[in-house]
Amino acid sequence: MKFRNLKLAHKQYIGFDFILLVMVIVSIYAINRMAILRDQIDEVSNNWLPRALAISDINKNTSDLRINQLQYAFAEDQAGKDAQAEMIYPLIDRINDNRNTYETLRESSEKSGLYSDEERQLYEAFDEKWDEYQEVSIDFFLLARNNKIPEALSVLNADGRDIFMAMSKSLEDLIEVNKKDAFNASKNAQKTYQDTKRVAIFLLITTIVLALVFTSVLIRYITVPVQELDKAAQTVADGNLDVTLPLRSKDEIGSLANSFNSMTHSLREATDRLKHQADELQQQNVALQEAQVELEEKSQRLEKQNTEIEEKNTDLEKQKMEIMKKNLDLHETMEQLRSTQQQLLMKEKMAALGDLVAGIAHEINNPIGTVTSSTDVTGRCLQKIEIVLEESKTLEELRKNSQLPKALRLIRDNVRVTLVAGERIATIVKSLKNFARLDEATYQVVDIHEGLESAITLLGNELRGRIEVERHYNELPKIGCYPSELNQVFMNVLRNASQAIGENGTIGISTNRNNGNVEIQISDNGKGIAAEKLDNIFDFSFTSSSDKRVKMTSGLTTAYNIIQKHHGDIIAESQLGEGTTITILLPVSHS
Amino acid sequence: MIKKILFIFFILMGWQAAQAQVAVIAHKAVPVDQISSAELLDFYTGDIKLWGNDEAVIVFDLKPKGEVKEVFYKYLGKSPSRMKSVWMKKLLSGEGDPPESMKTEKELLEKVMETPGSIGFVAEDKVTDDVKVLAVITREEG
Repeated sequence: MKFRNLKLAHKQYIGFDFILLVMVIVSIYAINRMAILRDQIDEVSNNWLPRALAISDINKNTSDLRINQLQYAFAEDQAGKDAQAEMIYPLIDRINDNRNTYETLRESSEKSGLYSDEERQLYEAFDEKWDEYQEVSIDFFLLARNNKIPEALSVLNADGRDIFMAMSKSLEDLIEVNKKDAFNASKNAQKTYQDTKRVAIFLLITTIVLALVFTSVLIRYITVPVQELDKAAQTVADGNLDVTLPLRSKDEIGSLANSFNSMTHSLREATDRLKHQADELQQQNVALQEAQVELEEKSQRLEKQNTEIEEKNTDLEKQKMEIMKKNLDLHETMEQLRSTQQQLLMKEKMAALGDLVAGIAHEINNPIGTVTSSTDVTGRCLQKIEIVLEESKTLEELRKNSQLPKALRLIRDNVRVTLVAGERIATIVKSLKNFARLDEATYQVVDIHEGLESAITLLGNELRGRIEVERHYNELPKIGCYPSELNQVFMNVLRNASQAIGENGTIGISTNRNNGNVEIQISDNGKGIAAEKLDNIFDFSFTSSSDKRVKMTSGLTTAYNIIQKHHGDIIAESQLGEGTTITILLPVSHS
Repeated sequence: MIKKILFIFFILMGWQAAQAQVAVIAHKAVPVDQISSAELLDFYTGDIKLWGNDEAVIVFDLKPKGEVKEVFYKYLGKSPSRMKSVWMKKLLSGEGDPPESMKTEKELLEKVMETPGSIGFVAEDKVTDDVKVLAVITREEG
């Protein structure tokens, strides 16, 4: 990663941190050197100087001692000697004290390795001389005490002088050495100070140079690109878009320059596009003007056409009025037709009812005839019995009369015949009641087979003797329906079948379950219906009957309507000359 | 190898040092058999002047400098020059005279032999049965 590719903040961090580091190093170095300096100054002030002081004090005290010794020798009496002795004690003590001081200081200097061998030798020399001088002094005091003054003085002046001079010499040398060492130490301190100063100044200059270099680098990396950017922005603001900035770095300014370049590029493109669009607009404008002229022409044409259309509209309005009038006429006609249809239907119903009533009358007439005749015979038999009862005198006679049992047998037979006839009548009446369902609610859940049977019974007159009815009943669920209406369907279909059969024939009735439906099939082997007529067998005005009576319909239209009302279906299949099958489908769960 | 040689050298040095032993001797008749360095110092400074039997304590010094004197004064804890300072003060104040210094160990030994209540010091190998040995100072450093 090159420096130029770093972010601005990172560049500044690196630069300032580097300068900071250099400054910290300078400070640490300076503090360290100051500590050394302080040690060196301490060394001078704590060791050499006190040692030199102690030695010079010893030197002074030994001199004083020697002077006092001489005065001791010349003291006139014991009191004078004692006074001198009093002055000598503290001198000896002070010399020893100074020696103690010196030796203590020497110990600490030895520890820090600052005690020179030269000084050691000099001090040892002093110690030796001091020992010798004391020995001389002791001899001197012993002689002086005994008032041998001249001998005492000679001891002090002969050997004593030399020893004393040597001792003083070694002490002076010691002071000299100390001075020299102290001087060296201060020279060291001075040197350290100078070194430190030099290094500190060097580091300071380095820091300043580095700061200057870093600042110029920053200027190069920040200020110069920013100035360029400013100039470029000014150029763009003046309307010149042909400006591209050099990409110097990958930092924020680099990316800014990049963005600026792409911005000017986008601006150039946008300007080109605008110019292009303006041209296009100009062209479109011309085209639009042309189109407008054309439009005006077309508009005039349209106006003309409009006028024509309006005229036509008026005509159309007139025609519409006429059509509405015709419509009204048609409606009236329709109404008339509908009422005619109603009347026809009523007539048909009446006709059917007439047939039915005639049939039923005939049906009932037969048993009534039977009842009448058998009642007549019974009456006559009863007369005979009365006669027999009058003629017979005894019970024996009565028993022997053959007329009585014959009459009784006839009565018995007639009663039986009458009963049968009565039952027959009851059946017919019941069937009629059942058929019409007069005593029950209109919508009911019923057994289809009952309805079929009622219809067959009521058609008894038409069927009897010529048509055989074959029943193929299967078990069926009861279904919800309008029973009287359904019965009419069965009646109509059965009657059609019976009428389609010429002399003799068979009507087959089968019932089945077919999915959710009840299926009733009624087929005949009559003359059948032609295919082209089969399509409109359920229409209103159709009849296949050749009866001379005016019979407007086959009754199947009514049947069709009723089955539709029950949501069922009625289907006719037929082959001319072979017969017809009518299939009725009724939903079981119809409600 | 060098280590071995050094080891032997130091052993020899130690043996030599062991030879440099100084005996503190006294007249046969002194009433003690041994003495500590503090008592010895008191005798030599003159702070104690009498034995337990009221006999006067007489101390002798050795004049020439040498190993024996050095070892003895180290044992006392005072250098000869310091000791002389003490003696000088005692002399001036009249508390007592400094001890007599002998020129040789032999002379010192004889002096102790013939002076009742006296103390001195000689190298241990010079000790005779005519004196009492109160302490033997072993030189500590090589």
